[in-house]
Amino acid sequence: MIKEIRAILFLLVALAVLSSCNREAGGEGEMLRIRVTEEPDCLHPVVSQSSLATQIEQLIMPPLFEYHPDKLELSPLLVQSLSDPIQVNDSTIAYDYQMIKGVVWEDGKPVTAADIVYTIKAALNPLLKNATWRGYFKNIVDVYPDPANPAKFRIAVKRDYMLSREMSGNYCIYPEHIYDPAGAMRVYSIPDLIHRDSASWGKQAWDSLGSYAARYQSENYCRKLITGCGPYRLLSWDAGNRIVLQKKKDWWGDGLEKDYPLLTSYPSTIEYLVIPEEASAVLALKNKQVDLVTGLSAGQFEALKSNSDLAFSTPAVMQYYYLEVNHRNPVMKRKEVRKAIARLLDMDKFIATQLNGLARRIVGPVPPGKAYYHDGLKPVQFDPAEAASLLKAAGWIDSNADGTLDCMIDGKRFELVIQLSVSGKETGKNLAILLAEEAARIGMKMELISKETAVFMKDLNEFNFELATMAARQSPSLWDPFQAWHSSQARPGGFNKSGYASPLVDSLIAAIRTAPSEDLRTQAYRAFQQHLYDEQVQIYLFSPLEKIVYRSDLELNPTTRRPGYTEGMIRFKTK
Amino acid sequence: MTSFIFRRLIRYLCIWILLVLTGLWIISEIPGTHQDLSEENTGLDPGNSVKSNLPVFYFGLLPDPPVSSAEGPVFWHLLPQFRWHGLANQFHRFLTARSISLTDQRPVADKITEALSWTMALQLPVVCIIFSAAWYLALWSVSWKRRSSASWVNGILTALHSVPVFWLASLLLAFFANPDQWALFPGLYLGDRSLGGFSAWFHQPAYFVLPVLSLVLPSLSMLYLLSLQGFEESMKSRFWVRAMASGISHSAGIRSQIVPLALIPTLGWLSSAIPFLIGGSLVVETIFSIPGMGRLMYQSVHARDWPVAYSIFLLSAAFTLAGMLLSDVLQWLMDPRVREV
Repeated sequence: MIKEIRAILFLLVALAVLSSCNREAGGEGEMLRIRVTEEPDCLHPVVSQSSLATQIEQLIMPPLFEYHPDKLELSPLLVQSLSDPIQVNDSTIAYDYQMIKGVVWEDGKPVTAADIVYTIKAALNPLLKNATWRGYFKNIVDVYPDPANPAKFRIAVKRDYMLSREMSGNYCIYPEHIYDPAGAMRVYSIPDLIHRDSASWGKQAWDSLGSYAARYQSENYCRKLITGCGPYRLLSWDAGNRIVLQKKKDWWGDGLEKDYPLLTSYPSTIEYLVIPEEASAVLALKNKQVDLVTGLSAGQFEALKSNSDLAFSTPAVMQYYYLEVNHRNPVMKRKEVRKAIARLLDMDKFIATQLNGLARRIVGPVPPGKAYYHDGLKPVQFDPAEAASLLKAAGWIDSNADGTLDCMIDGKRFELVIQLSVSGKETGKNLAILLAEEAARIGMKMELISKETAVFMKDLNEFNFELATMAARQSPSLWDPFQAWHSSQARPGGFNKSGYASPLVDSLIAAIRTAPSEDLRTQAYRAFQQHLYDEQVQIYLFSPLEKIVYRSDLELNPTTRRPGYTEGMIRFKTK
Repeated sequence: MTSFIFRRLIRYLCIWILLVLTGLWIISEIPGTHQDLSEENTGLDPGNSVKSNLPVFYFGLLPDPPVSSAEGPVFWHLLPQFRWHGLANQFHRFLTARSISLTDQRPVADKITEALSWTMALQLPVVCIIFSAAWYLALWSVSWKRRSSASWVNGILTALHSVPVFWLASLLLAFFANPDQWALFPGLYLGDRSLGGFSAWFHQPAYFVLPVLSLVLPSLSMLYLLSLQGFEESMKSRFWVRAMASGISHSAGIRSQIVPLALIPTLGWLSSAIPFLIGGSLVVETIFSIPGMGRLMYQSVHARDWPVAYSIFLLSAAFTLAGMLLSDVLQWLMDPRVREV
């Protein structure tokens, strides 16, 4: 027996020695290795839905212009300069662009206006799985290539659309000769694709669009034929494990970084390693198998701070947590109930204890850095006494002495019992427990219902909830509140989950979307935020800070744009 | 022999079909769809062969629900009604259509093949090590000289059995793959995973040490006790006394008289190990970032990617039944008492 145990130990030691010889020395060359929790669904800008996909796509097939990570202003990438809007008629404005000289696809062919036209047409294919994208692209009127210069074009957009500039080129561009070599989309025009409905297409055209959409959404276009004019090319995609991007040799954008800072691309290779488990990611970081890790828990983030080889960054990223209120419910429809709930949450304590202080309070859905943010609003303070008095003043009393407040609403007695739905996320659960404890003290009963993510989303989409813990993302562009707040979206299948419908909100949304000047738009935005705040239509909680841990020999440029860093701008100090 | 195998085959095929139908029914009852998670409603049929409005199987036996009480006595509606659905049913579509994963548009077969190679690469050595180690320890323990040591072995194995796999795996990772402790083994596989799990053994064998240990240590005890019980019971029998009386040595007696008999109860364990070969271990695969079947199944169920989840379910069911069939055949071959029955 002793002999066998010795043999096993010898074998294990031999393997350990072998593994230490085999182990890669971390960070050889300018290779940047980033931990991600899950791989993207697809790397096709129109079909993909994950935020990681967008992050990677922008390195391979960048848009004409993008938001600068520091200034959060649009900055040119593929075009020589941004254009001022040109008034075409009462309903249309246009933007003129010219591509930077020498912009070429991976195979050396020049990027032309025909590729822009194709990109828009492909996204407008009615049979493509991209309802949201198509909705935005319908604000484009047409694209007019310059017959004399294939690198010049004019793009006309609806004048009253607030994101008209973004619509003129803030989306990934891809090559027609690779994605549509047979020219299947050439037979359709942009106005046709926008205005014609399914009945008017005719069977042959409809089938052709369908077969094109099916091909476009296939594995081949989603995972293999990924190409563009960006600084990186997809070197390999090892499913479920890693995606490797390699910097192109003699890329057209090299040397242009001074005039076009977004073309900066320092790392020679970028690897996205899929490591779902937090403990494994931390070990990989300590073992120098990964250079940059995000998405850690607050506790783990603090624990790593003792490690001198690591550096830390906590940029405020555009994301926030809130309580979604279903206004279709007679109890939640009552303003005093919502206001009372807002006063029952000790958010400062929650942020300090549960999130180690790595979050900031918010007052509404607009991130504080925006020009149209309403800085006159102050976060609602924790005040259970005021919450109780608000309810009492509105007639909520414990008339049947069962320990829970009740009130007559439209001739019917309602107990103050609220179902609070939480999905599997730890933060939401802790928040719900805290709220339920405080609510119980003033006679409000919160029933916590923990739901698996898919069930949670299904119930939310079907408006089958009363109160739910939610997280939402914001973008650096202007915020369009139409989908989430307009009364027309409160119908079944609509995006207005709260069901809150008010003529004032509708008119403010119209004012925001069609304001002739930025001042007027800002005024409308502020009035909208004020209304949401006064009515506590939703209960806004906090915006978490991103927790980025990276090797101390990296020079990171933290940004409020998700995911909190820009891969191309990360430098190696010692290299 | 042929008739025995044939009867068992028919029995297991019926069980498999029942499992198939149960799986389809469960999926139809689970709330939420992939569309709910993606917030994109296309109105297109993604070629999903499960969770559709088609009938479940080639034929149905469920009675129609009563329309009104005027139709006659209620019990008529409780009687099975045979109806033929033809080839337009979910099961047939599943068997014949090339299923595509809803999450990443990849063929389901490719995803499962890749995950299976990783699970097999992990679980095959685990099963072999458990089987051989448990047998070796049991054989070592039955020797009369080592009674006191055997109780120690038993105690240690039982203690390991009571440790949750999640805990053990996390501890192994935290102690033996951590530069703050002893970074003896790698915690992350650095090679190309698309080449499959078996090639990983050649590229970085040390990577598998901790996952294999996490699975072997808690599972040793059961097979050890099973084998030990087999040995001890055989040693109480008259044929063992007679064999010893004939003058053969203790070890030769164990080899020729005890081992064949004691092997029979462990065959049942072997058949129960097959589902693990296919299904994988979610806990160990998650902790060690192994892209195996357990993780794929978990992710697919969460994403409501039924083409993938259902295929794994059917595959696991088929292999479990195949394992049972194999165990039956081996028992029939090795145990004359089964043949007589």
